[in-house]
Amino acid sequence: MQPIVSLTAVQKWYDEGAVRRHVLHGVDMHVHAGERVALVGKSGSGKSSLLNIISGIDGADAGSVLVGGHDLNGMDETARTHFRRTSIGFVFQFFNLVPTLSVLENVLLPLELNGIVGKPAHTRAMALLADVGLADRAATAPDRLSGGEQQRVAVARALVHEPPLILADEPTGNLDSDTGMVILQLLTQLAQQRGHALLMVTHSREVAASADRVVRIQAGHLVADDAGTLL
Amino acid sequence: MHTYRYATLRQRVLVLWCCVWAIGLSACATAPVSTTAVPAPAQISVAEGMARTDTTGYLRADEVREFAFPADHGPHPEYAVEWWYYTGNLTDAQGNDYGYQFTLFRTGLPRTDASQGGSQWRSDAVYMAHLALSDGARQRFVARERFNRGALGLAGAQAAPFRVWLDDWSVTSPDAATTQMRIQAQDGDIALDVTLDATGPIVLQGDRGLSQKSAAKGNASYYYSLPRMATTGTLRIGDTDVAVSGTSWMDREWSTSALGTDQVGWDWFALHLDDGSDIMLYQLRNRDGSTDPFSGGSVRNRDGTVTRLAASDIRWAPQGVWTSPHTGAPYPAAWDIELIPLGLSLTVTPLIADQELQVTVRYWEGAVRVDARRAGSSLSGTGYLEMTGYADMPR
Amino acid sequence: MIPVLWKSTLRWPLRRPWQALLAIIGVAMGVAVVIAIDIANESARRAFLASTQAVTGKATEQLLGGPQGIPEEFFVRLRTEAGIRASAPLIEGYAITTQTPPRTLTILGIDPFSELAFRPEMSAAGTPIQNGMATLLTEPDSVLLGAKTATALGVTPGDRIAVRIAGRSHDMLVAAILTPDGSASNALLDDVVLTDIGTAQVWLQRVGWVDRIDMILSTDQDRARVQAFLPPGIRMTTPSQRAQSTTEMTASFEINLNALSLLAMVVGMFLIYNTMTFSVVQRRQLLGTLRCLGVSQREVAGLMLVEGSVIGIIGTLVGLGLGIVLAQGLLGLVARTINDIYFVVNVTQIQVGWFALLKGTVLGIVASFVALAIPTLEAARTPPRTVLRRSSYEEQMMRIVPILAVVGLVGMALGGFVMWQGPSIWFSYAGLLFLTLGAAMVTPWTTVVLMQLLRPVAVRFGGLIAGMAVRDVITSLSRTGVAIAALMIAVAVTIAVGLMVASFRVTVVDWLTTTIRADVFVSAPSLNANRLDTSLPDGVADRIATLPGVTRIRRYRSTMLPTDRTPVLQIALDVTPADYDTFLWAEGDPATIWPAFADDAIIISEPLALKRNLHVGDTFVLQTSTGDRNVPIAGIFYDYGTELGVVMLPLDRYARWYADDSLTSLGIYLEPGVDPEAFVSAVRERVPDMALLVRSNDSLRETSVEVLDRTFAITNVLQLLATIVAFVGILAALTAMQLERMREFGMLRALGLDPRQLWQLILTETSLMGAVAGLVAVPVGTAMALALIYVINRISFGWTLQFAMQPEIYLQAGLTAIVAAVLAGIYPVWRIARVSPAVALREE
Repeated sequence: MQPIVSLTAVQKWYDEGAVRRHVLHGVDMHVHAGERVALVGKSGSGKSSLLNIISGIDGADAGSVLVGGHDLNGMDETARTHFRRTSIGFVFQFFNLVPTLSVLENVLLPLELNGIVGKPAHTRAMALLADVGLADRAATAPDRLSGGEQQRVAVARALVHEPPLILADEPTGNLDSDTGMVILQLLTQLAQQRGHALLMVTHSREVAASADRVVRIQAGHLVADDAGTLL
Repeated sequence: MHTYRYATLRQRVLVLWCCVWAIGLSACATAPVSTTAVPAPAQISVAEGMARTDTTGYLRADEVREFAFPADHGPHPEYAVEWWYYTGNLTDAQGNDYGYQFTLFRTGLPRTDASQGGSQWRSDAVYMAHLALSDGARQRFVARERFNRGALGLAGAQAAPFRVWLDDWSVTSPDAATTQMRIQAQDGDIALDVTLDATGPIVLQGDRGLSQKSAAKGNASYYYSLPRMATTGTLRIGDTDVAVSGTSWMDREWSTSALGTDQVGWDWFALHLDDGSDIMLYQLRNRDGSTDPFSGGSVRNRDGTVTRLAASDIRWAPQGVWTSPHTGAPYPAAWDIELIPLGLSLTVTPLIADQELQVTVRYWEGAVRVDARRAGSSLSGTGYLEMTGYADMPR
Repeated sequence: MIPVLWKSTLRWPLRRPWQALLAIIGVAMGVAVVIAIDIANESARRAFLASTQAVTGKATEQLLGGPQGIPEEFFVRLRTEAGIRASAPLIEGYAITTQTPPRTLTILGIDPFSELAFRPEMSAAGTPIQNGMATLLTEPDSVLLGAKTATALGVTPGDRIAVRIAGRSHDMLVAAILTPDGSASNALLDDVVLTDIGTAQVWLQRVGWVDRIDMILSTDQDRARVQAFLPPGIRMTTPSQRAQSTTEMTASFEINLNALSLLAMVVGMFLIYNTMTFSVVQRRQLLGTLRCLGVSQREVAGLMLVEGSVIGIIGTLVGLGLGIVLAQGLLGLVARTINDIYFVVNVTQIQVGWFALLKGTVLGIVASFVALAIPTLEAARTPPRTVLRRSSYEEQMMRIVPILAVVGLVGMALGGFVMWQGPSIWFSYAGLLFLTLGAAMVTPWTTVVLMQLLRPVAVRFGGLIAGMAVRDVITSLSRTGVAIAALMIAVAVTIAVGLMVASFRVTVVDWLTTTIRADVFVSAPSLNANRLDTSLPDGVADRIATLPGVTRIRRYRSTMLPTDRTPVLQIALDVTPADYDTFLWAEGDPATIWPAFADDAIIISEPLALKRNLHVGDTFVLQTSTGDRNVPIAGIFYDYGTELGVVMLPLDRYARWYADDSLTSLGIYLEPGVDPEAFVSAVRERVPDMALLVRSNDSLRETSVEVLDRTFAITNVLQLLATIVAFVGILAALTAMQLERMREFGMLRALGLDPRQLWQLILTETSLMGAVAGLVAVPVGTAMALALIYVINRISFGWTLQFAMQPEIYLQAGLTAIVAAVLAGIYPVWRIARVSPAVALREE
């Protein structure tokens, strides 16, 4: 089966004057459908760069990046934007809900971006809100929700348009540990149920523990890719 | 006859131009919804004209006076109303018949002693002029009308050298010594430029020039005529000037007083017979249809003698009816007239049926042909016929 | 249904209504000022044209004569000799009712016999017109009125209206009321009285003359015939040409008003720019998130444009309404200036033309979009990141600032060049705009430099809080820069207009002192404050000459001289060697000017020379009553009396050329020791029967300066409006800026800053901004003033003004800037200080 994410010899560097600083030194990584992968590493290890490359926010300087069958290297900014809206679901550390939209509208937004509107969109969004336990808060403004509730909405928003890959950047980082666990379970369960690949960037043991596989990055190299070894 | 005409005119002219103004204007104001470019002139009824009888400040024609010429060709501002009346029957080289009418009326304005000094525009008279041309061959008739104030030289009259004018319409004599008169008038597509020479002495109408209108003293006019004036010149209806010659009739009349209110119109005839006699006849028509006893006329014979005719000397017989397409008014289509003392029968036929003037006061005035029979012999002639009071009869 | 994406952005202004509201007010004010000026100008012009139409009617051609008009005999000849029947003489004048408030009535002296073809709207359907018209001819002082005017005056037929005409009292007799069909015809009769031409001649002292003759000529043949018939001194023109050349007189005036109103629009654009920039800066994180979620750059740009244009459109619509209200207020000022300087126009009601509204709408929306361009680009370039550091954005700003400054300097240089070399007034204004925008671009850099210089001083004397305030101005340059620039422009405009008006005043007062030498002046009363073209009654000069104390009487005859372009003022006068130094020469040598002037030359004023590019030695065509004459120009003198231009020639030559020996004013020189005011009374006693305006030197000068001040009233109002727009902008900018920093202030409060210190911090910051704006505005305002005085005034009016430096103008402007900035800081600080630190900290 074709992996959802397939990175081969990916390099990323920044030119700072005459000096070229490498952030990623030839990373190979594969994530399959339904797989839950935790990406761990220290600050500055290259986690964010890798995430940016996988999500098409940033381009790789060398190597091949295939996500959901798309070759991101060959894409321009517009194509990558379109790739993002169809193929990626984001869960951010700081939730990043759109403050001017209600809970339901936040969930509807990805559907709308994918051209799904009206009744079907509404049904799907409400179903997912029910899945995350917030069906009764659909009309509420995000800033009236607690942090955990906001992240539930974010989870629903990330999943609603059924992207092949969910990217979660420290999804529990801004929550207390109990709430964080609940969210984590919700996220991993839903991702698995729906067959999405889930890539979580995290410092957290608990998060890593909930993954099928942990990938560790250190100074721009993948140093371990196993299910057992933790931090 | 002019009696009636001037009687109405003296108040009327004043009312007249005001109405031209007022009604013409209102016609213009509604022009966008009207398809006719030329507004229908006002209809002034005789009765309306008769309504005002204020003669304050004017002399009245109440006694026989000495006429003096050329002074009396000039204006008489001490009387309220005055006119210079020219009609003529002309032919061109091919023998086609033409007719013209050219008239200048003067009406005194109410005088205000408080009139501010200074401005030359201040006027005590208003002038009105009519020009009408008839083309018998082409059956065309065109009439135009003008008004102006008798001030500043815009319109006026003077005796020596003789000149009476309104804008560029005028009758002039080259010098004080002659009775030759030249009429010059043009308006757009019509023009008249003819020279008139008197072929006989002046005829004083009525009693030595005092023409009584009704029983009351002062209800009269001073009235003289030059009935037969040899005429040559040019005339134009349309593009080309036509050289014409023929005979004209001049009437002069001034007065102040008005007529009674029972008179509704008149029929006036000025005829030249080819035996050299000139006939003037008028019938005043009363409201009840009868002929007013102050109707009458005169015949100037070839030898210069004048025969006066009283109302009872004339038998009037209108023939047929011509209904005006403009006003719907019924006019006599022709006339049979018998001058009993002279044993003369006249048949008067219009040169053109429609010679109704579409001006402020609607009346019919046009060139006519005359067939006369006297003691078995027949004569012919030409002349002018005026019929008033038909278009504004209450119907 | 509005897509969710659009909701996300359209709800943004609703969350910050004050910000959106201030932006809307900014646009609205800009649009309002522009269309108000437009409508006021247009209403005055339309009123003038309507009154022209009332007096021209259906005429296709007009005959005009010399200074006195056309001799009435010519009309008679035209009728009786040339046979031009469709011709109507006319005399026009003005009467002022004695009621309070007085009304100005236009007198149309007509010949009723000639009128029919010309003015059908003056019809009288349904009224007893016959009597009225008869009365008109026969009754002295009788008039006809439109129904509306009659109602306004409260008169019915038979009533009398007490009026003053040319300084004399008359009682008009209402002969009849005209009720024409159609409102258009009614409008033509507004404040018009019809009278017989004879009456008008007497009232207006025009006996023997008519003002003009209207004609309806349908063929070229007729035109040629009339042309051939005209004696020298009578010209044929068309009503439209004539009306056009009259309305063209106000062209410069209108252009300058329009330019000033556009200034308000430019300031308004700053506001939109400001608001939208804020809006973008404030939601960079949101935009970053949207970009992560797959919203494209184009969609982001679209969102910003929609939001900005909603504000622009609402602002424009509000501006249209506001503009109509404002126009009514400005109309009086515009009309008064036109009446003072150009021609008589009687207008009290604005007429809102579709074109003005359309223009305002288009301008408002286009300006909004132009102002939106940069913020929109900025928004679209937001990277798809959820964590965006503002400091990096500000760092980016700091990098841009020097580049912006260079661009600004280039813009200023370009502006200066265009102004100097530009071929027309619009180039000059474009140059001024470049100069202004260039200065605005340099402002952020200047701010940084000034703040960096100030910081050590501030810390030393004001402590850490003052230091923070100084630093904050720089660190939030993305917000403060625009606000300071906007305030700077407003203040600079205040300085520039102030200096220009002051320079004008000083110049004119100097000029009046030089030229107005006689002790007492006598003229005929006129409706037009600045123009003396009403003739004096005959014999006034002789009667005054016999009064004791008179040494000399200088005589003047002023007339409006028609030319192939706009009319000019022609003054014929006595000039003796004693009068030589009453002229200041712009061109020409007095040693040669005076002999030539006495011989066959004329002298002309500087505005005339500049507008028509005339120099000494050139010739000027005078349309005299004895034919056109090519007259050499001997000298060009400074003149600030009228921008229309002045031609002067000796009185005796004028009398010959124009066959006119009437006078319009007298300058009386008195023996030493004779009190001018006492002499004024003596003159009034000497000629009690004549309507005369007798003024001493001092009071004439006062009157002249008063008129001058009146003409600048509208300039001052516009400048004030621009300042208000700018003030709203500053308020918007500062409020937004401070409220955005709620969290920061909350933190400071949490750290222990008490409310008083917070006040201190914020007000120090805003007053610093005001001070910077004021400081930069000094050189910029001075440069703009120089441009207005030496370039724009010269091109549009032809005046050379002396630059008058007035320190108090700078002081006032600087104060305005600081006060405006401080006031703008009060609301935010009040709000912030009230909020508890905990709440402030929780704000996103």
